[in-house]
Amino acid sequence: MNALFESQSNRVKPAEAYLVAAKEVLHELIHATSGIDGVLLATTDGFEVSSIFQKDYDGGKLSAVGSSILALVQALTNEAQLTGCRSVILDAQDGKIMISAVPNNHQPMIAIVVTKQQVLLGQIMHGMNKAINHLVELDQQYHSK
Amino acid sequence: MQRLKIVFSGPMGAGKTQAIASLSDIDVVSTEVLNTDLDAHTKALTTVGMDYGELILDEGTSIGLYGTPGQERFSFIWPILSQGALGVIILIDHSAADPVQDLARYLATFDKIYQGRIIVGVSQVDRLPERPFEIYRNWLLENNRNLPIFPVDLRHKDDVLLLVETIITALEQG
Repeated sequence: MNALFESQSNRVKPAEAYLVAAKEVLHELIHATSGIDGVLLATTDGFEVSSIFQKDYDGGKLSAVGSSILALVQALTNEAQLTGCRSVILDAQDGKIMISAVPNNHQPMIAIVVTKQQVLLGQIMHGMNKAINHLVELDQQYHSK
Repeated sequence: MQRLKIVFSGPMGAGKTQAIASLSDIDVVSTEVLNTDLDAHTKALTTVGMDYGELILDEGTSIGLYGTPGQERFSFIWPILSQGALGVIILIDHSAADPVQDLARYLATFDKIYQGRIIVGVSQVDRLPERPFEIYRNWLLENNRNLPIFPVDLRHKDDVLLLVETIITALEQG
């Protein structure tokens, strides 16, 4: 029954192979970078694609709010006549959040990491950039027609 | 400069972004991205943050036009954008599957988050002319809601202006 409903959906979804490979990339990010409490991959219109959480987060809500924030920040950078807003870092009292654009050619996405307060930002950004480059390659590999 | 605020909300595809684009005297700030939810609507782009435009009335006054995203998962932003608004315009797509249900749902939600004036604009009436406009008036009567409701072509500035003017008139009448 579920398969029947799924095949009737017109939702644009990542390929199964992409999901498997993307999960690997997220694993790599978490293990290579200390201080990450959660990482989430979502579509630019706010649907969760994949996630690894060390805490109890609501992936659906994080995806929606995160995509909204990045789009608003991109609108702000446009108004400030700057180009290419790639990421935003939020500094909370007890942790940080980084939201980055994943500029896939076919299925554009965003990546969100939630970290502890005491982290090396440079390390987080380096890890994110590496993951993003990998994800963009995977999109090219699995979503080209 | 005195800055006033009017919010456009309503379901996906009703025409909020277009309404603001038709009315705005400035280039509209938008947050449109690729729409992957083709089950909900087949349009290419969808708003995920907000639209912002301005209607300049005279030298001293302008009205900020704020468009909300339509999809339910962005409903967290509706109370944020509605705060301090002169009025909320709920746009409904006449050609959607159940536009009366859409209207009921949006009114129920906005009743909880916004206490000011709400008016309703019904778009795309020409796409389904066999569906009578009375369905909205009947529902409003049955539910004791006395709200202004108009069919509008959101491509036409004057139609959208009518909605804005209705809010201002309602305010002046107290």
